[in-house]
Amino acid sequence: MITDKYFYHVVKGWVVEMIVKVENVSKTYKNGVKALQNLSFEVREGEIFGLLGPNGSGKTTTINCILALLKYEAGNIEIFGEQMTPERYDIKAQIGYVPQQVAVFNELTVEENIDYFCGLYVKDKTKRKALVDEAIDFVSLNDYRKFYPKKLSGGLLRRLNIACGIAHKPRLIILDEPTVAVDPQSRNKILEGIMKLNKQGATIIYTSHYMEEVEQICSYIVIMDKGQVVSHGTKEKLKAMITLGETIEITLPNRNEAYLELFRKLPNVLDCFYKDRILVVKSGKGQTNVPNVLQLMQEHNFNYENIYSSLPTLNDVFLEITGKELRD
Amino acid sequence: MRIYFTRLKCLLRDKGNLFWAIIFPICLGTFFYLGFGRLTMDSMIDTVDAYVASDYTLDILVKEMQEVKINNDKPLFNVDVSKSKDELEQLLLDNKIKGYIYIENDEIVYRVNSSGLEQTITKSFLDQYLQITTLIIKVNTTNPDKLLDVLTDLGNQQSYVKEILAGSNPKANRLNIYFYALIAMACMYGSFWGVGLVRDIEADNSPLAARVNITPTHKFKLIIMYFLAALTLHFFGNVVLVLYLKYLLQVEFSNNLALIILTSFVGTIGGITFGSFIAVLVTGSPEKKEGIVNVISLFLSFLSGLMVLEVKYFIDHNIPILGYINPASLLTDSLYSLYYYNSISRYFTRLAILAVLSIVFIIGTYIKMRGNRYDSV
Amino acid sequence: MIVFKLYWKIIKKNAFVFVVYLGIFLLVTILTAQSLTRNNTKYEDIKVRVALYDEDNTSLTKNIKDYLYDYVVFKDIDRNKVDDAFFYREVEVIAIIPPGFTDKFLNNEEVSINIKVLPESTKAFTFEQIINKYLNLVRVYQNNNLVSDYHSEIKEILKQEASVTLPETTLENYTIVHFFYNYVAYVVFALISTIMGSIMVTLKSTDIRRRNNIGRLSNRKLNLVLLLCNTLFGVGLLSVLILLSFILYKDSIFNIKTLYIIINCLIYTITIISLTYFIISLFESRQTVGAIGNVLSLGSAFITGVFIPQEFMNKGILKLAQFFPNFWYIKVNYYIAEVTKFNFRVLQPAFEAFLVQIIMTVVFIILSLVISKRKQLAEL
Repeated sequence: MITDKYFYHVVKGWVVEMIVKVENVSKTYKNGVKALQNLSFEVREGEIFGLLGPNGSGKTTTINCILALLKYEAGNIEIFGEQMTPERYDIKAQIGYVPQQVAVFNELTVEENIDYFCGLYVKDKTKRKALVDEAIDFVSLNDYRKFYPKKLSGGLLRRLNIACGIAHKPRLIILDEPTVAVDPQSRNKILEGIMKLNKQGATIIYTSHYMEEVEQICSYIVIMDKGQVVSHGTKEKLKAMITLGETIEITLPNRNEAYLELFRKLPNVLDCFYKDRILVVKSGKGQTNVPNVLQLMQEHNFNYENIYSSLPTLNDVFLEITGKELRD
Repeated sequence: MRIYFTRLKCLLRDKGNLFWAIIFPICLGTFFYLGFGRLTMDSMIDTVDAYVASDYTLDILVKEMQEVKINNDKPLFNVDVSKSKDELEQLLLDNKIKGYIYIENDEIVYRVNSSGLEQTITKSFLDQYLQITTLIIKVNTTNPDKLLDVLTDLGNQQSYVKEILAGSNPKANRLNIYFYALIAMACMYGSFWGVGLVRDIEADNSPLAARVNITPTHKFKLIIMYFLAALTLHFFGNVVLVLYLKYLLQVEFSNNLALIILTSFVGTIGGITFGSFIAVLVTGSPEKKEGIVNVISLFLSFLSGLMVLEVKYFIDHNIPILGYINPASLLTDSLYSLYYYNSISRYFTRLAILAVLSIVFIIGTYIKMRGNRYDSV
Repeated sequence: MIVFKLYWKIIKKNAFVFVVYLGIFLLVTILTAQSLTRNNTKYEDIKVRVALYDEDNTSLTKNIKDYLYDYVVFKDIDRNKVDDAFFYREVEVIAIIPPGFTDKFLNNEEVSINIKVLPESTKAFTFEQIINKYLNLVRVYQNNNLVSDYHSEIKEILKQEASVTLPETTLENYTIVHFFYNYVAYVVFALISTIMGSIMVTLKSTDIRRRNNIGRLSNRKLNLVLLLCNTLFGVGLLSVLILLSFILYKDSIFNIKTLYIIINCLIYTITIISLTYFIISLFESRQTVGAIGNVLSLGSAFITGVFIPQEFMNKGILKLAQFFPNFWYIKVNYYIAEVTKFNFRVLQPAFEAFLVQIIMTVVFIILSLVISKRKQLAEL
């Protein structure tokens, strides 16, 4: 694992500092649920670090342990190279946190909320004023400054939630599923924003169960399931790890079980099955199998409505490692 | 400081909180006033129905009864001499009347089915009638020439007793004690702010608190600022209450107004810190904490004699230590000592104990919260 | 049935808080009962306890003391400790005869004995009368030079009292139990408004209500089922309280009066449930419902005679109090405790009060149904 990371950073050509180090952390909730088991990973400076896993895999628990909100029975967590405890206010000062649930004061307006949370980090009034304005700009809530949270739509509320966590320009930003239940337009804004923050120098930990998002923005990814790391690396490396090279989907007018045998005999085919009327052909790495498939269909005069080929996704990675889909 | 103002703003915009702080004690005060405020002898006595048996009557007595007045235009008795003794006895047994009077062998007999205020009034009138009759007969036999003077003198009744109160203002009313209890209770309701304080700082209570938890602001500072904001608002509410009692309901607090306001200041501190202390001890949702704190402060107010005054003395006699650790008791005790005691040293002792207790509560709250990691968030 | 199960589940979920509530209120009730018993056994015969300080010390003041011996109990307490004795109820009245009292009195100047009286002591109230009677007569005797040794004569006159007789009753004396049940009025109101309030607010939260609205139960039926659940719950609570009264006052179990008082209590409980239901149909937030429940339960207790007997209260306030069910409940309690025999004629006032409570119940239920229907329509 260390070598992997080392390699990755050397390629990028940076001298990097370790921002978060999680070592063998285990956490069991009072009701007996084992949320984390021997969890270890590291986050390096400048990364957008993706924590990917299905619902209930332990992502939020991990975040809360990092933030020293939760007790855990074993393991060790370091931030900026130092042991994290609830009373390390100096460490906390450099962290920004966007919780999964919207956590803002209903009694305060958009501007007042951001100012309040920013004020918990930044004492200086004029400095803070600038930071708050910048944050409002950043999440495009300029027209809603004087609005109370109750009057905001779901997407806008999420953006406010984010603004409250990042206004003080922290070195490390932790976002816990910030795009859950958000319309596509707001979602894109949020993702763009995260990349912008990263460009400005912040290291980001981003959790999600949407693989597309993680693929889109994260430079390093840890895939979790049942409180354990199942795999980790850059998205390219993760995809390279698995045997799957290509998925071809053919929509047929009707199902014919006999076709399955024919397709299975093609070279390099790993698996072949029906998804309703769609025949799915999975091939291993190497050259594309599309010409072979087309040829086979021509030879046997198969009718088909359309044919579609795709490269492996993180879902395929997850599926191959755990045997189940990322989104259940 | 900004934390304080923002917090104040938050609290002000929460209508539920404002209700507890200001409207609730005022509502209760009004009810109190309606219940107790006019509980003085004058207003308590109303014209009483009196029945004299028509077949066993005495004209002089009936005439006297018809002439007594409560004040200028209100007679004391509404006398009915139309029914016979047998009829009245039947009515008495059927509980339609509370009592009746008949004269047998020159003796006045008052027949009742139970004891009560009306019966007491009638009885005391009859006693007085008898006593004066005896006096007149005596004077008539020994000094008949002076009879007229004696009668004039008798009509000129005077009061030789004056009620005094500590810190004394003759207008002050002994019923103030119930309003003191109310003020104590209003202070105890500060405990709700205490729960709110914990809810918004303890990470496992709300997502908002979790968020605040990971900021570099020191927890003790947060607690103190939140506490000060709650104190400002609740103390303001209590001053409004005291002024409302004094100026709108005309409850006479005499020279003690400043001391009462001081008590409500210390009491509010006690209430809030008490609430937050209980809230950190009880695990569970904020609703549960609120429920528990509510019932405990109601219970402590009860022990301090708010609903039934006897309970306080029952406790004082049997479990005196409870009086020293129950903030509500300390409050009522300090206020009551304004009524019972001539010196105010007892008053200050109680307030001092309460202040110490508050400090213990708030430090306890901080210690319980300090460096907390939680089981679940 | 499904609603019933849901109701039960919510109770179970909140069981801890409810049990704490119930426990504390039971404790409160027991303490009240104990302190009332303590107070009331002393009530009738014992004379008022007085600490008298004579700073004048003349023959007149000695006579006053001599006279008072027949009417009060003197407590000999050190002057420095009298405030404590007063605070702890060892004395009910502190009386101070100021220096120069006799001189001024004999010159017919305005003068008075200073007293401090326990706020709640009714006996202490009569102390004033006792003194005034005596001193007024002394004045009359002195002014008119009637006899030289007036003291014993006045004492004799003031001993004259009208005789009081009571009919022999067939019913046993019923003294303390109705105080207990009066207090129950507050407990039932407070418990039902808080506990039922918190259950119903959960059940009626907007989202759930919308779901229920599209469910197969009609609005009215749903409301009636909920009312039934609440009634069962209320009766359950009440039976705990009744059981407690049986434990505290074993003698009362076989007294016929207890039966009537329990019937009264049952009707009252149902009225309170419908009142709470009505409040809940008006307001939605848990806090508002809790607050209103608190104010109404405690406030109405003060003005309807739960804590102070109705006959001591201002008549105007009692008119206002008639709008609260507690008023009728308390009235019946006192009435039942007083009656000397039972027949329809005697019980008529009680039945009337029952009827008033039942009418209130019906009105509250109809109002809540109407409001609930309106809210449902408003959401469409």
